[in-house]
Amino acid sequence: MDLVPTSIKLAAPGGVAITWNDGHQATYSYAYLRKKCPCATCRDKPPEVKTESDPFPILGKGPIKVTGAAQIGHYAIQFNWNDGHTTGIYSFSYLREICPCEQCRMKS
Amino acid sequence: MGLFKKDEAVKESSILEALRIVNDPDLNRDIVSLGFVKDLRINDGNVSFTIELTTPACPVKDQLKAEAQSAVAKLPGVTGVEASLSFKVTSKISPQAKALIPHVRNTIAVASGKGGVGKSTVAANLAVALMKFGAQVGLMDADVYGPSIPILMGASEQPQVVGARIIPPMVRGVKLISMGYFLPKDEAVIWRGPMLHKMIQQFLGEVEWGELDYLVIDLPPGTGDIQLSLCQTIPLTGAVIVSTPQDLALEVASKAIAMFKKLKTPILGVIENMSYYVCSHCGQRDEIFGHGGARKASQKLGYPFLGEIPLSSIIRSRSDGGEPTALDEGDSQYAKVFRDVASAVAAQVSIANYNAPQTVSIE
Repeated sequence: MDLVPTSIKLAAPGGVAITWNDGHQATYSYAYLRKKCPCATCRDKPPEVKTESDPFPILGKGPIKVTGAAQIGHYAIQFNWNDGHTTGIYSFSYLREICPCEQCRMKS
Repeated sequence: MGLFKKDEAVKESSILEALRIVNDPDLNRDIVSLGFVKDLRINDGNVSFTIELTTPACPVKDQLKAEAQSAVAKLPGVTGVEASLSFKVTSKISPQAKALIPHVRNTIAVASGKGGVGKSTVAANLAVALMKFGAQVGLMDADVYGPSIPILMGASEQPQVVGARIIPPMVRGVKLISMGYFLPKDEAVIWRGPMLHKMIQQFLGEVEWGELDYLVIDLPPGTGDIQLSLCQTIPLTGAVIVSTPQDLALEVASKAIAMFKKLKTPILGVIENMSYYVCSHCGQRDEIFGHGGARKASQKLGYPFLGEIPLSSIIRSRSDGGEPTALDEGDSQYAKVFRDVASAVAAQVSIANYNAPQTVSIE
């Protein structure tokens, strides 16, 4: 069976919550997901990810957050971030590979 | 009603029960639970109903009709059965496709790894054969480097531009768009990826395709920008792979299969082109590229084999002359070859829609 998400909640408590067609569930924190961006630029130079609130929120954009997402074909999802980044196409198999839940981390 | 005793009257429930023995071999379920039985009417002992198929090119439509008729005829009290066929092409439209091509029910990419295997000839004849079955069909020539579809289809009309929309000309009953229309004869497309991506998006979103049962998309050879852009822009219903039987072509075709697998695009099956050559003088069959290579390869990889098309000077000259062989009526053997291939493809499209996973909900 091909592992594909059945539901992706962008604003779940703690980040992006993904439910898979095999019943697996996990929540990816925004910072973790942003750091794992698979686009060429981020792979070359890992992005600086702001996790704390800005002391002067009027100047910055606050902690990293997903602002939107779109499915790409049958195989991937593209996230839009509040730091303006949009070029990361996360294939379903990559998302599953980087699943942050304890069970998956133990396996790898 | 007066002719029968009450317990002999034909009931709707007993007809539906009897029809449950009729199985759609492709979807592997009976036609009642599939919801194919429509307009059931009982007039004393006369029963009439319609079987609504998932494609007008259904390869087993006559078999289903005959089985249904005989199943109902066996019921006590039934004096006459009238089964008719209709079709409603199924579809699984994603939000992405809905935004670009809202009324296109299915998208079928015709791909090969290697060039020169007759991909465009197959795509053109596939589109024409589906149209001849009664479907509404579009043909998008995504081979920007060598747009041969307008020549193959004998297209003389140009697309019209109305406002920001491109109206595709209707050529031989098929709506057609091609880069060939937008390029002077001796010019070439020398583009980098982003331009190609934009073209794919325009060919989908800015062309007024209207209502279509099938949009056949002729891809260039290889596994490059156009293939990737297409698979990213919309979730395709599926891809058919064209190959010749020779090992070399199959080797490269397996690269195309690997690409579609990676992009989770369903592979509808493999078509073998230039399968064999029949000598026009002595009628002897010569297997120039070897025998049954694509059939064996598709079976090994677990994909349906969709048929074999012979190497023939008739298909070649009709292609060059812009009159696809699939246009022919009646018992033309080459038209029948393409009809059979189109039926097999349409059946796989129905199966793909039936088995398609739920779309991902993003909120």
